[in-house]
Amino acid sequence: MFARWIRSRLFLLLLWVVAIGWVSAAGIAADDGAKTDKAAQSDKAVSSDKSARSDQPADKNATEKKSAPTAKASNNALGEPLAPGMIKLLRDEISTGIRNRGISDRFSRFQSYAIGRINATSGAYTGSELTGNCRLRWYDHLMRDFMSAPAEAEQFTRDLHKAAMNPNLGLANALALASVKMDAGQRKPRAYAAPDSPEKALDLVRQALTGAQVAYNQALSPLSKSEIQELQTYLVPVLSTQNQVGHTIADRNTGRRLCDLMERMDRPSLHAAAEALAPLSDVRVLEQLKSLPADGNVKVAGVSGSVVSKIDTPSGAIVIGGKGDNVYRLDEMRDAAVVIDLGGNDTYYDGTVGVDRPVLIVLDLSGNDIYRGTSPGIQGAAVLGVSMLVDLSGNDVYQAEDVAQGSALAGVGILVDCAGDDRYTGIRRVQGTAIGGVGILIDRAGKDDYHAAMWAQGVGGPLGFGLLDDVSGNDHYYCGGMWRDSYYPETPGYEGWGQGVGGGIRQVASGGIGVILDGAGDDVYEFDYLAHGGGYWCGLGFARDFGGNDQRLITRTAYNGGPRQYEQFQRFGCGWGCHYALGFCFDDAGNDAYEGTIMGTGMAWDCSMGVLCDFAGDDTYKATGGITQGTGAQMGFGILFDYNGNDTYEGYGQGYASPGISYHHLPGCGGNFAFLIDYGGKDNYGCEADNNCYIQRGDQGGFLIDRPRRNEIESTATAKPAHRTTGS
Amino acid sequence: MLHASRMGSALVCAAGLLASVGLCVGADVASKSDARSAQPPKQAKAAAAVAAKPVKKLTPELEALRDRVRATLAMQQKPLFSTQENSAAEIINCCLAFGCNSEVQLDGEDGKPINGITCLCWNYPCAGRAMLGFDRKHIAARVGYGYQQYPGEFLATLALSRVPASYPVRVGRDTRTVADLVEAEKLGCRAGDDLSLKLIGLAFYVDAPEWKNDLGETWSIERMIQEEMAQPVVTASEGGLNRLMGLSYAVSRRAKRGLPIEGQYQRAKKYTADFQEFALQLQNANGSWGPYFLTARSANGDPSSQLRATGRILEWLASSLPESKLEDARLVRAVEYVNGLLSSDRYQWGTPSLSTREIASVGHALHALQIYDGRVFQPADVAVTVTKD
Repeated sequence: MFARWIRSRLFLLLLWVVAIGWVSAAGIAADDGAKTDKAAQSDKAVSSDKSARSDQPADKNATEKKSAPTAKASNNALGEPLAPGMIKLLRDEISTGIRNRGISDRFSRFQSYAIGRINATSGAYTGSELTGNCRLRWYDHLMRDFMSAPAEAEQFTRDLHKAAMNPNLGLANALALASVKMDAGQRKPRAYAAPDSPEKALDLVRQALTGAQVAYNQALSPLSKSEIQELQTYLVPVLSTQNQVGHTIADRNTGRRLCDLMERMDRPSLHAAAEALAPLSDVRVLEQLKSLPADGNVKVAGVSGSVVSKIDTPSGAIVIGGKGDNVYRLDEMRDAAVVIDLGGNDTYYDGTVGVDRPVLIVLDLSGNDIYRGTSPGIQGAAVLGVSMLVDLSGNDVYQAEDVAQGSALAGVGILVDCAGDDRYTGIRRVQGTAIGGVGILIDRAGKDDYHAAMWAQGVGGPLGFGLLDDVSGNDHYYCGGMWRDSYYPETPGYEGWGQGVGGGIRQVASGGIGVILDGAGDDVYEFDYLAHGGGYWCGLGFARDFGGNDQRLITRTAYNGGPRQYEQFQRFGCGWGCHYALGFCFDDAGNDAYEGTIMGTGMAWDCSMGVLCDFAGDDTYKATGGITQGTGAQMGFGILFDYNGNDTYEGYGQGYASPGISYHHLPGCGGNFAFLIDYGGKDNYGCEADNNCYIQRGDQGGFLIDRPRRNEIESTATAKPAHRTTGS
Repeated sequence: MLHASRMGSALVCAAGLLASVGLCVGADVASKSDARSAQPPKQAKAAAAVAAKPVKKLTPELEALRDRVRATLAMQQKPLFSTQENSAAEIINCCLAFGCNSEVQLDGEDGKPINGITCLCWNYPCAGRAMLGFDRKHIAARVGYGYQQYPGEFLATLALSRVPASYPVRVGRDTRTVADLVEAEKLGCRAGDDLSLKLIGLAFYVDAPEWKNDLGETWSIERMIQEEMAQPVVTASEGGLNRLMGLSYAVSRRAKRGLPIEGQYQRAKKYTADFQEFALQLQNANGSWGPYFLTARSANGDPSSQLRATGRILEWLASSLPESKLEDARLVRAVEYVNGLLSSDRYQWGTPSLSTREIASVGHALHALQIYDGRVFQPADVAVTVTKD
């Protein structure tokens, strides 16, 4: 009797070691010693958090009542410290699953087929709509190694956010990371001493301006004057204002020509122009500038209110506005390259850049300011130019239409708002969006509201790096609600294309890198089609929220705030890849809700990878339509990974791999791979899977894996063993 | 502001004056290589003149190369840059190639030819932009799109063309001299900045051992060398060739003044000598260098990127290598390569309409040929002294 008891205990122990043991905190590879220490405590800490967070995600109407971020979330703006280890577990689980099911050869074919397609389409002209122009090396690399992609994505987003969080050198470090990923070379950020006087700070402004002018000039120097003129004429209409659909553009021939020209620009120099401006986002520099003498009075055309001085430099004029309220009509100040406003509630109109005024820098050091305009390329945004807007404090309002608020077409656009509750409104190509350059919006604090219709909030088009990073605060993001999606009548809803999307332009060029990051705070993301952590047409998209209880919702209203014209319907959201692309969505903490209708929440379509990882919290996955929740179709590799928490998976799609493929040839392409992996907690599955199960869903490539956590093993040991190991 | 046509006439006159009175005596080493001297020595003999003995004799191969190089230089001087179409940056590169003999067309194709240096110094608008403005109460050259490409580039070009410090520069009705430009550059010296081209300009124009910038910091040519050597070469702009050019030029100016090469100068001399050897190791068999400049041996099918690297590296080597190494087979191959590219169809007629980068590549490549001509071929020319009768 005792021996049998011992044997059963040994068997359970063995089971724990093989199947669960490496889920333990000690098994999670931490980056460094400090993390290892935390690892030992992580299970308990997370468990105790769980008990305090039993509330289910609320709908949008309940958002305002949500509690403040948890202490852990607030203190840990870098999210889940053990996330790298969790991703390693994910990789191991997937590899083991494929091996144990005897489909390793299938996965090899899947990977080889993808590599073959990448090789076959690497040329600028291939005879098909898929071409290799504007293709990034990092994209190429990830497509060749799907298994490593989630770990690289996790590290990239973590490093990027860690860099952006630094109020001094953050932008410089973020740009250094971006430069490498965008094939613009690896450079160390320029070293500079923190200024100890306003004069030295002003000298840094001069140096930054000169650096940006030189680099911009170099960026354009490979193009002839007529080619530069072409870009200036066509960039905005062809890549933005003519379009009401997201997947391609109306004038594809001209679009291709523009992409070819942007490909010939000197991209390392374009990134160098951005890097030259980085010191101007350093809070130490801005604080020194506040002490500039405010006792001058000069007249400057285009400015009303007091102007302290106007300094002519070889790189452009520097205008210093007084501490009172000013109105700056930036487009009437064509010789001004820099505006420094010392205080007051100011209003800024427009502020375009281009070959006539290549560089514009606006540093507003205090006050509640309004930035307003309708021209494309304003408010820290650029069309064929370099623009930077830094607002040090106050509750600010940014109102624009196309290409605005940290965005760029063939240029550099940077917007950094250091504090206050801010509201950003735009239509297309706004709020951290770029094609052929760098578009960055960093908001360091406050309860912020981002509102846009399409191609917005961290979008990277061809050769573009788009980043929106909101470091803290309870924020609201809205992208969509204006234009009917273009696809099929049976799929109603609006175009979205925002919130961490790296998207190419179909039949024109490969995509770039789009990233949306959010630090602490309970956030609400509203979006429509093809949004939130997705890659499209040879692009890479990333969405990551590092803290708080977050809700990812289909837009509740139309763009204008009125009732929706079309019913709530959304596809491609929350970690998706579509057409030779990779998309990632990570959430580090909190009880989160994920909405969508079809084709989303860790989903891949057509030689792509889509990944959704939620590292903690009691989460609800509400997308109930087809191909959702860790699914792959048309040669897709979809993953939904949830670590910890009592989670609810609505609908039936969990980990389902469709056996049929019409886009590619079977068996050569390897089929579909779909994983829903949940560790810990008591979970509810719409497909009626039990907790602690290991199930085949659909084709052999479909996995639904639910495992208990280490501290749940006791209950597991006494519970009945998992009933089903196969099924659909 | 003068009316354009009146100003144009004034400029033409000034250019003639500048050349005729010998104020502007051509590039430092290329000064002897007036493109008009491309005519063979035989014709010079035909004149009533007394021929002196050449300093040295060229091999038949070098004589053939000399004729080809001079033909290229003569050809490249023909397509005139225009102040209507070409920016100041492009005209600076034209001036780099031909020094005080450069000519540009005022306004459009039918405009009068004027001296390139004069055009820039008198601040005539190029592609609609006047390059000179004010900085710290001094006249300074603007930087950026449509202006000089790098800080100090204009002053460096003036220095390499040996334009005297007393030559006038204008902004509107305010007429000053090149010395005022020099003052602006001195005040703008900053640690950590790219000082490469500024170093060329100040090494030529500044006699004082030290000066202060506008922050009150003490600067000198030695300090500039030190700052430059603290910065990387191969990852710098233009493949680091601006930096190497600046360092070599500062050492060479010091030697020309008969001052001792010690301290930072000694460091720079050794540093650049090491880089010369390194550069020759990275040269391709056909005499070219590729788009990676001095980072690694490389080659590219695109002639513009080959010319960009080879022209710049040859320009630096031709100006900085000792006389004894100028006829080294590797350098001769580089001259052959650059000359071959410049005489190709691509660069025969359309240079002024190329991109700014490619115009700069052509300018530096031509400058390289001018320097080589001045140092290798011209000493073998028969010197001619015109007799009174």
